[in-house]
Parts: sequence; C-alpha cells; structure tokens
Amino acid sequence: MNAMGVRWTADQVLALAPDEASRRAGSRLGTAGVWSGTGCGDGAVWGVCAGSGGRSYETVVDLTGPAYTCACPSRKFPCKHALGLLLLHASDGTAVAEGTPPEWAGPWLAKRRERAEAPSRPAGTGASGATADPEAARRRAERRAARITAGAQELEQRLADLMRGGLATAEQAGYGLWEETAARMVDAQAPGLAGRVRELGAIPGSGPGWPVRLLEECALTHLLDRAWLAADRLPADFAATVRTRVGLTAPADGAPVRDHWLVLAQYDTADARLTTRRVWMYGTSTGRTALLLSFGAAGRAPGLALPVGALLDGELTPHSGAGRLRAEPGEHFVPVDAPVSPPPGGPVGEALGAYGRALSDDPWLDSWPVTLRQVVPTRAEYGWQLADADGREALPLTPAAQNRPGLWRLVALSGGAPLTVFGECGHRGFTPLAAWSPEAPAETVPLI
Amino acid sequence: MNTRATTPAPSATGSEGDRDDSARVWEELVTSALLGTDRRPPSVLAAATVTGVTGKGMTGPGVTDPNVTGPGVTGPSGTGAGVTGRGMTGPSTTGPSLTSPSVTGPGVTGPSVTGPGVTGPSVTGPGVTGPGVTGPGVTGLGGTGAGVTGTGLTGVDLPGVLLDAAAVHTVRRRAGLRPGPAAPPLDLAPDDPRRPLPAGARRRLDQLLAGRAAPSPAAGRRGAAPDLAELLPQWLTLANERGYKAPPAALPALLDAARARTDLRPQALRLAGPRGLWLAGLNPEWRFALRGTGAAGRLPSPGDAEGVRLLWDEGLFAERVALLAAVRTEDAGAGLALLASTWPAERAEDRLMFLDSLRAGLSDADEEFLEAALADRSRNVRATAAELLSALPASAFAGRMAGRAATCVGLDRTAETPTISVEAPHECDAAMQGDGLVPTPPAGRGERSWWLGQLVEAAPLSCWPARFGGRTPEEIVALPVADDWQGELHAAWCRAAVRQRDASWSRALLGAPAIPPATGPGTSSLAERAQLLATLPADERARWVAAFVAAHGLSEAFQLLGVCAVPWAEPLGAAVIDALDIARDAGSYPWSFSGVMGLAERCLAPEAARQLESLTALPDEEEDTAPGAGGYWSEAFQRLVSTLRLRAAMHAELTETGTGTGTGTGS
Repeated sequence: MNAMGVRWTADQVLALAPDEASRRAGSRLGTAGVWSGTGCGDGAVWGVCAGSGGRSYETVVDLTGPAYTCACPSRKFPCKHALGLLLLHASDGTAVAEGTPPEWAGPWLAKRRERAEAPSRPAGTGASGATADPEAARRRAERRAARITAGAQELEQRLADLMRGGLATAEQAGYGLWEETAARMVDAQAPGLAGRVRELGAIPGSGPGWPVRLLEECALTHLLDRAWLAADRLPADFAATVRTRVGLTAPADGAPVRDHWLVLAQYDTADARLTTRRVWMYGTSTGRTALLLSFGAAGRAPGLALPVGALLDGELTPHSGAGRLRAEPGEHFVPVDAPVSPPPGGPVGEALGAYGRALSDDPWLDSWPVTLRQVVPTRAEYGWQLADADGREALPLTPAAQNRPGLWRLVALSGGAPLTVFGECGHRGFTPLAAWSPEAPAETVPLI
Repeated sequence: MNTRATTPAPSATGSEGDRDDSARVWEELVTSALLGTDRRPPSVLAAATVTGVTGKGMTGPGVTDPNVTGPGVTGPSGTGAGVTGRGMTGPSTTGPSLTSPSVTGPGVTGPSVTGPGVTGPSVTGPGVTGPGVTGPGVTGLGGTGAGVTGTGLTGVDLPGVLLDAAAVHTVRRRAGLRPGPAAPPLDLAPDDPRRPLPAGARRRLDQLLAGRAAPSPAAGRRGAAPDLAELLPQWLTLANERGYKAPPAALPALLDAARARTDLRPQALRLAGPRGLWLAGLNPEWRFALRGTGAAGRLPSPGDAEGVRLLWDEGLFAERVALLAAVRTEDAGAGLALLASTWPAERAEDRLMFLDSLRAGLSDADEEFLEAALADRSRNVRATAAELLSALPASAFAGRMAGRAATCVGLDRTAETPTISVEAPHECDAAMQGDGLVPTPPAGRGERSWWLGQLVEAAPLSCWPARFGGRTPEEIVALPVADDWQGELHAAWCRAAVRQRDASWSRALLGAPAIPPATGPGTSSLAERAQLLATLPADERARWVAAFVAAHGLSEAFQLLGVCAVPWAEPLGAAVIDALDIARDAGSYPWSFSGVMGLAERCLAPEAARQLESLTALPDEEEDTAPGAGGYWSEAFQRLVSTLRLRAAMHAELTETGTGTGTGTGS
C-alpha cells in the first residue's frame, strides 16, 4: 500500500482552508507561475512562492499529517501558500515533479518523520504527568470539584428562583442576568455549566414557543446539576459523562483504534471566545463514527484540518464518557488509495431511534451522527425535509440547515431522486453534512 | 439494552387517556413555569400524586419497574419518573413534523407503537429510573412528593419538583421522537444526456467558481496570481462547445455566478442544463434563470408547430421573444410568418423588440413585411424597419435612398482635380420621413447635415462606384471633399459599411494601419474603427490591428484589440508582447496598460507564454526608469504567464476526451 503518492483533489484541498478568504487567496496561488523550486516525494510537497513585493516564502506540506510550515507571517493555518501549493499539486500532474527535499525543507520533514517513527504512545510518557506530585494533583482536583459543586448549587438556586418568579420575567430580565450567572459558573471552573447558561440566555424571545424551549433547557440544566451533586453514586460511565458535560475534560484514555478513516465532514462554529472545529470520521472496517474536536482562539482557525472525502489510515484514541464519540487523532495520517463508499445507514425512523438510544447514555445530547439511506429532499410548508424513498416518513432539517448554501447542493445532487446523506440527527431535526449520489457513490459531497 | 420484547403490556390500557393526560400535564407544567410557581403552583403534580400516578414511580415498584431492565437508563431525579411515566409530551414542544410518541402512537408504552425504530429506550425513556432513584437525593425528593400529596402544597420545593418533572418529560420526548409525515416528493429533475466533465475539468470549475467572488484587488496592483473570475466565461464557452454538463453539486455555485454576472448567464445556464433549470425553479433567488434566455431550455422545438403556436399565442413576452429568435434561427421564413400572424395586435414596444429579432437571417424575403412596417404608428418601429431595409441593398427602399443620396453627393467636374461636392437636402419631406428619416436633429447639429447623414447612411454602398465613374471604394474615399463636408460624409459611409457589413468599404475607410489615426482617410474615431474592423475576416482583422499596434503602441489599441478573435492570431500576439516590452523599457508603469494587460491575459494564445518567460525576470533598476516600475512589470508579466498557463491547462482538461468518456461508457 504505497499511499505516499496519492494526490489530493482540489475539493479536498479547499476543504482544508480555514475560511473563505484563505480559500480564495489559495485558489489564486494554485498556478505554476508564482511557484519555483517545487517538488514532491516521500509524502511531502514543497515549493517557493513569489509573494507580492518581491518577497518569497518557502512552503512545505507533509501530506501524512497533514502538517504545514511556511516562511510567511500569516497566522492562518494552513496559510494561503500551503493551500496554493497543494492546489498546484492537485491540479497539474506536471507542475510538481518528484525529487528530494531541498535543505530548507529537509530538516522540518525529518523531524516530523522522526516523531512519527517513535512509538506512538510509549508507556513511560503516561507517567510524566503522574510523577509530578499525585497528592497535589488530587488536592487540586478536589478543590476544583468543590468549586463546581458550589457553582452547581448556586445555579440550582437561580433556576429555582426563576421557576418561582416565572419564565415570563426572563424575557424582561434580559441577557445581562444570564451573562452574570455564566460568569459565576466560569469562576466556579465549570465551563460546561457556563455554556449552558449562556444558551439559556439566548432563548427568551427567540421566537414562538420560547417558554417551552426554555423550560426544557432549564430542566436539563437542573438534571445536570443534580447529577453532578450525586455523581459519586452514579455508575462510572455515566459519571464520566456528567463530568464531561459539566466541563471537566475526560482524558483520551481509550485503546487507540487503527482503521481506514473516511473524513465525512469538517465544520467550524465560533462564538466570541473560541472557534471550535468538528471533524466527523468513519472507520471503514470498525464501523465506528468518531468526532475530532479542535479549538482556536477567537478569529483564528483551529490547528486540525483534514480533507473531506479522503480515506486516511491512522489511529484515533477515544475519550471516555459523554456519548463516547469524541476521539483524539494520532500523529500520523496516511492517505489511502482505495475506493470510498458511504457509511451504512437506514431510513429516517431508524435515525431517530439511534438518537433516542444515545440519550439513554447521555440525556444532554442535542444530536447524534447518523447516515440516512435512500432519502429524498422534499419541501413541506414549514421548510425542507428528508423523506424516505417510500414517501411515508420524513425528518425535517434544522432551522439553521434550511438557510445554508449546502442545502442547495443537497437538492441539486439529488435531483429529486434518493441518495445517501450523513448528518447530525437531534430533537431540532436533521443537519445534513455530507451526501453521496447513487451515480458517484465514491464521491463525498460536503454540505457545509 | 431494552428491546421491544420487554415492552410492558400494562400501559396498553387507557392509552388514549394517557395521551390527553400527558399533554394536559405538560401544558400545566409550562403554564406554571411561565407564571412562576409562587403565583401558580403546578396543580397537576399534586393532582397526579393524588391519583397515584407518581406513587408508583417514587416508591419501590417504580424503581424496579420490569420494563426498565436495560443498563444505563439513568436519571438522578426519580420523582418525576412516575409523573411523566405516562408520556408527558406537549405538542407545542414538538418540531414542525417531528412528532412525539404520544401524538403519533396511542401511548408511549402502547404495544401499537410497533413501527420500525421504536425500541426499548425510546419507549421507556431514559431518565426514568436510575441510581439516583435509590440515592438519598431521591428519597428526599420522594418525601417532598409525598408532602405534596399529604399537605397540599405548603412548604414544598415546588420549583425542584417542577424541574424534575420537566426534565424527565424533556428526555422522554426527545428519546421518543418519531418521524413526521413526508411531504409530496419533488418532480424528478429531467435527464441530461450530455456527458459528465472529466475529473480535472471538474476541479477547475470548482476553483473558478470559488475564485469568482474574490474582491477585485486594489486598483493597479493585482499581484502575480491570475484573475480567475475573468477566465470563467472562456471556460464555460469551451465546456459548452465540447458538450459537457455541469456536475450536480456545482449547480448552486454556477447559478449564483450567473445571478451575479449577467454576461455569464447564457453560457452558465446552458452548462447547467435541464437540472439547473429544475433547481432554479425551487429557489426564488434563481428565478432569473427561468426568464429570457434561460427559458430557452423549455421552448418547444421550432419544428413542433402546435407547441410553437401555443406558446406564441399564450406565452409571456420574454418567452415569445426567445421563441421567435429560435424559430427565426431555424427557418427565417417561418419566423417571419409567425410574427406576421399577430403583428397588428401587438403592443408598440413589443413590436419594436419583435422587429429587432428579424435582424438575424435578414434577407430580401423580409422586404415586403418591413416595407409595410415603414408605415407603422410607432416612430421607433418605423426607424428600425428603415434600418433593417437599408441593410438590403436590393430593396425598393434602398433604391429610393440611393436616388436621394445621389442628388446630394456627386463629383464636381468643374474642379481641377476630381472633388466630391455635397449639396445637403433642404428639407425633410413626408416621403423621407415615411422612409424612417428623423426630421429633428439632436441639439447642436444642423438640420441639413443631420438629414444628409441619415440619407447616406441608409443608401446602399453599392450605388457609389457608379456615381463616381467606376472608382473603387479606396479611390472614392481618397477623393477630396468640398466645403468641409468630408467628416460628415465619411462618418455616414462608416455607419453604412458597418450596417451593411461591407468589408471592401470598411477596408477603404480604415485605411492603412500605419497612418496616424488623426490623419487617416476615413474616420479617426476608435469606436468606429473597431466597428469597421468587426466586418473584416478574422485573420485580416488581426493583421490590421497588429500593424496598428506596431506603429502606434498600445495606448489607443484597447478597443481595437477587443474586436479581435480569441485567441489572438500570431502576428497580433507578438505585436502586443513587443509593445508591452517597449512600454516597459520606456519607463511607464504597468497599470497604465491594465486594460490591455487584462485583455492579453484572456486573449493571447497560451503558446505565447514561452515568449513571455524572459520578461518576467526582475530587471536591474536603471536611473532613468520610474522607481519600482521594474518590479511591478515583472509581477504583471508573471501574472500574464501564469494566466496563459492556466488557460492552457483548462483547454487540456476539457480536451481529455479519452479518459472522460472512456470511463463513462465503460462502467
């Protein structure tokens, strides 16, 4: 399996771009004219890009990471030069010739290879954290747990006050009250609770039926508070889920899973503080769906970028707790040159069933990754839905998905005929993330 | 995990009542929460407890309820279990068509909910019981529950009870969600028999469409990378020529591009094909595609007499214009007959547009109809009819005009050298007006010269050699003109040559390209020259412009270059590159030539890249050149070269028929 020579497609390269501006800038640089000293080999591509004003930047991409390095000062990741270089490599078979890395690319690549060669998870490294001072670490953890408990109790009090006074007052109280409570939860070192409170603050006045939504979310927050306060009496798995929901990061301590992973989707969500990137992966032989999370400071792209539709050979290490989907990527992903096929799936009823089952492990789940087979996008009075091909049952798309450009790609790809769609299925509806048409089942069409 | 096998039979009883009950309880909970438990205690909790619903959940039996057999069915608060055990799901909380079990089925745990996907957990609901139930927190809560029943809502943690109940309800509702009814399916998109794009070309299309929205860079400074948006039209034209269809996933971006740029529309919509129109019909933003040229995809074929008739009689204006154009292209006579069939009943502005479509395939067969249109009520219709007739040198109209023009323009035999004498008309009589002459000149022009211009323009050029003693057009144009009429006369001849597409007169009026524009024989206006050039064959055009560029440089060549065939034929490309090189050496900045540069990027033959290669080097800065100009020029040439390479790659990708169709037919 000589995967080193696999070329990425332009689509896949463009999917790596951290934002629309980089995508455009990268597209403009994906031509031979601006590049010199280009070459590829041993799973890497390199070249010198003539920048504006006579400056030039050395760019190297390690396709097995993928990882990038560039002499430019851009803080975007990957930068437009890396994207341009990859596009050049993707589009034009002759522009980038096989060769050996020049001296400005060699050391960086060698260092990456060295790290990859080293045992991926030596047993000894686990001790590095433990050796520090297990007693102190335990005390720290206890102090934090105590703070969170205080926070949870305070939040309980606020929720009780809210119920006593009535939700109708929440609309008048405005967002400030919630912001303040959220800040208190941050002080209590419970970012999970803080996030929930912020979301509660956005619900009042958010459209018809908001009191019902607010009551539901308040009740689930209450459930989380109570669960935290009783965490020591819960089964270990469920307690881990509760801890993750409250905001204590669960360690990625599962057994690493090696597989050929299909990159199903990659998308970013951003708030004022943080950009969160979600990457959905599907293990073609284990049948496992995994979620990779990667974070960037506000306005900056997260570090992890994988080409949608690519099949990558590598390891994922699952986290414990909460839904058991989140995993950490291994150091090394090697593109595999093998035919891609969409994950197995079922009708819409099965998708909701899967979400319902998942709720029994984590009642705070908003959605669950599912693949729908033989579904057709159609339009009801309230908006778009995905219906089973037999025309009996249907799942509505979430309100957010109704307005995305990806919706039209989905409709165009379908042409009114059944297709396979991967997405997140939850109580608000279905968010389509990727689709495969029966005519080209090997081609993953990103919908976000 | 729980399975349907464990679904308990007991709740099969009274499921209808359950549904009403649960809906009522949830509504009550919401009302209570909205108004506040202080003002409105959740009476249902008390009521439910009295009826013993919660009793089961709070005491032992609830915990060990036989249907809660699966592991992981959790929920720290056990009190609500019994309360919501009957499927407390509010219709008001459900999504548009996500329905909760209590709505679609006769009850949460009812045996009749046996459809696919209804499995244990969604029936029994997570959060019903769990460790919390046996924990101290729950016994405490259970105690409060008892308090509710016992003491009638005093001194009770009502908010806690309410939230407990609501939490269990919420998880139950979410876990038990069922799909809603499917809306009627969309019509299937029509089949598109054209072949799919080769893989390389597909990627290129995505790249071009992604680059389309790029903001135009600051004036002058455009960097060394190609301007992708400018290459999209070429790519579309080429792909259409080769008979490809657009990949379905690219259709939204393609329609967006066509929406933003009207110049892209015909080609983009053609590539989008029937599926593109199908898609456009679903999104109001793309409604443009269904109008005008876009509707051409739905026109009946010109041979389908019945369909043509129906659309012509009942179609919208834009559809009718498109239909007439299609029929006219197919069979000029049939188009004329179609128009004539309803002509008197059409509105004046419609008549004008319809008349204009006769321009395509104009022949002597149209004369009679146009002659009749000269008597039209609308002045614009009359003028257009006259214009069309003047392009038919054999028509009676042309004969009348030739007669009139001949009385005004002739050879002055009394002069020492042969000279053209001009006697402009003294009046614009009714007959002249009837032939489309406009009597009132625009502001600033004399009446007589205005009338003369119109007469000469409408007169067939073929009448002049006879009038001037068998001289050729060149000789006629070279003749001196008396009394400063030369400008007026030559300008009118230019318009006539353009209108009548007369290459020999165009050639004569253009003169030799090396003669400085201001002193040329015919016209000095670049716009008119460009129009005259357009009547010449493509290779002659390229040669003429190449010679012009070699003689006068690029500063005046922009409009002339614009009418040359793409890609530029060899002498022209070389001349433009040389001229750019000269301009650089002369010390000007490249943005003085940004128009020509942009044209060159789009129009130079890709092979010219080799010739340009040497120019991309950064020259040494000399003293007499403009500061920094060398760097800018090098950048501009780099962009030119990379654009040419990109175009070459585009062509290659769209030409790789072997692989594209090979896989298509093979699989």
